[in-house]
Amino acid sequence: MQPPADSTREQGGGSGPLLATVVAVSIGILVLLDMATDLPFLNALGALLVEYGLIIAAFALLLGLLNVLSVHSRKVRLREEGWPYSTILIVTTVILVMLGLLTGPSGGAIAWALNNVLLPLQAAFFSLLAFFLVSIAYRALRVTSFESLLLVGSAALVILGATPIGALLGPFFLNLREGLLAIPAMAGARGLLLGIALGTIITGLRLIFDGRRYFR
Amino acid sequence: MIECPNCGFENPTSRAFCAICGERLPQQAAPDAPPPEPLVAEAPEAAAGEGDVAGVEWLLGEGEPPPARAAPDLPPPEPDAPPAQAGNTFLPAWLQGMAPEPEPVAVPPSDWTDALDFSGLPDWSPEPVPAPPAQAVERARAPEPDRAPTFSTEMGAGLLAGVQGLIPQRPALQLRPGTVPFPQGPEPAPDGEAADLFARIAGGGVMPEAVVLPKAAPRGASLSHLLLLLAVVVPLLLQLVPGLNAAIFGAPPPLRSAAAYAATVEALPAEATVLLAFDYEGGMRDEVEPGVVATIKHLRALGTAMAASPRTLNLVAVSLSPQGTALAERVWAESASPTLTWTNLGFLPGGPIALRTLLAPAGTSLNDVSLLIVFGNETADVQRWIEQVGSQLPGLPVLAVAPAAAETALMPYLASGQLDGLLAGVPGAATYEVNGSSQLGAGWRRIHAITTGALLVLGVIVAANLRASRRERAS
Repeated sequence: MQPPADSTREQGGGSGPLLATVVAVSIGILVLLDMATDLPFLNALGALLVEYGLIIAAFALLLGLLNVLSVHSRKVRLREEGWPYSTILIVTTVILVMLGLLTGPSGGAIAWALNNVLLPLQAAFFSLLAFFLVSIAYRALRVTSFESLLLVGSAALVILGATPIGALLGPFFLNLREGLLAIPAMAGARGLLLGIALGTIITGLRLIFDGRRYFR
Repeated sequence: MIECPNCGFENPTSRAFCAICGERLPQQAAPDAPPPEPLVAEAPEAAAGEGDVAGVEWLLGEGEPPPARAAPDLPPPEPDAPPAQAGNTFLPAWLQGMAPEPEPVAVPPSDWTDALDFSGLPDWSPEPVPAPPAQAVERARAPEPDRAPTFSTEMGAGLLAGVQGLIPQRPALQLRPGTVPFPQGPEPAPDGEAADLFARIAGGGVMPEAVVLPKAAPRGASLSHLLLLLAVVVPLLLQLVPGLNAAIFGAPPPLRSAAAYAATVEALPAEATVLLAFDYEGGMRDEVEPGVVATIKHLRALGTAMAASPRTLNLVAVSLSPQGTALAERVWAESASPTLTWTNLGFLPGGPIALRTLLAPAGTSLNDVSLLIVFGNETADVQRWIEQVGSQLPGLPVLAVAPAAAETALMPYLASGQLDGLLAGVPGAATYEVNGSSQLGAGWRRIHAITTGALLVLGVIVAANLRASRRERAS
């Protein structure tokens, strides 16, 4: 029996995945060389490829919008769970897209929607964090050991040090806060940044030199 | 029936081990047991000449007949046995004759457990239960002429007295030898703690008819709710009285990062282009926008004739966030000034790729930009500008306005000089308004509400710890 078509695709077979891999890896290497060298030809080629990337990113945004509309249209058509919300999403999207096309991305209608719908909703959603933080402060921040005392004390120091309370408590308090941020906190942040940078480099190199796995 | 020599349970004759205790049952010799057969047994022949099997492949999977599992000690098929008992028993009787002859299957010569090494198991592991011999398994699987339903399970008493059942009696659970059936777990605590309930259920005990979970102490719940309400409502109420907060708390402390921010803005040349990156979103607006508005006001003040050295400033806005374009227009509408020129480049999709195009020779050149200010939603928004643009233009000063939570992660960039100044959240904006731009605004108004909220949160932490320690002492 012949294997199904999907089986070949899973194994990375066929000319399509190979072509995608070759294109992606080649462009990755060219842009990397553009960053690393000062050759005019490579710099011009890298700039051109980056501009292509910008255009593709714009189309990807449009594709994402169409995909969202497609998914929610199906939910409405099949009356799946939450389909009324999908209806609201589709209607809102269509209205805003039409308004944006007519008045521009910063037009009056878009600005009205931003100021009166989007920003209040986002602010209301974000303000729920206050209740959550106070609840966590009540339930979780218990001083049961020296380490937990350090944690709670440092948090109080950093929070109050940036407020007028810090100015009232005097320069020693402010210097202590600055010292906490400048030495232990910065050491931790540097470690995190170095780890992220190493991970980014490794991921990029794997993407370029082991692209067959990713561009199927 | 075979009586178990260990527990006395009466097992069906087809069993090799006791269904209750797992003890090996004494084998009963079949009355007319045939001599042992060779290991490869011939399958019973299907009735020949009763049809063509080509039309029923869909009933047989891939067209191959399922292998018959014939046992070596099977009695030879009786010549008058019906075809339904001989071959593919899953087929209806009218299709039995159409099935092709199954291929013989080899049966393992001995118990597979003999080949395993159990010496590596720990001492506490139970004794391995030997698999029943292949002959017994095959005997159980093979159709037995004498195992037809005999209506032998007759109820002797009760409402169903005299009713004969079709299903033979079988134990519902089989245990390994040595296993204590249904160990009794500990009795649940009177207050019905969840751990005791779990232990009781896991121990196999009988479920209590009604589980009464302890109710939370109403006093503690009300205290936490009261503190939660105070932490949110009190800062809002204090905001309603102008000047009250400032009278209570005074001015915010001078922060070095905010002072460096103000000094960098002040150092702009007489004619300068300032690139403003609006990368924050509406959710962070209340924390970031005070710094944004204070910056625009400071730049506007530098452009007026009343400044010590009036500047001609061009503000160019760009955004890597879809909301950034509208937010930039919103801020500009509140802070517009004829002393400044304003250009909004709009939204650039692609993230870091878009930043590379700003640096590309064919794109918009950043060589004329004197200052870059990033209004970010999080640490990464500032990082990508520093890494993609700041690293390529070493002489370009970079400032950032970000939430207070991003301050720690951005400190290394400040220390290394990649970032020249930072306004972290509302405290940074308030400090900048007081000590830098000298124009009080949203930062000054909100810093006192934040101070009140921070004090109440610290009070909540202290109250929670006091309550916990009191509970520990009481218990």
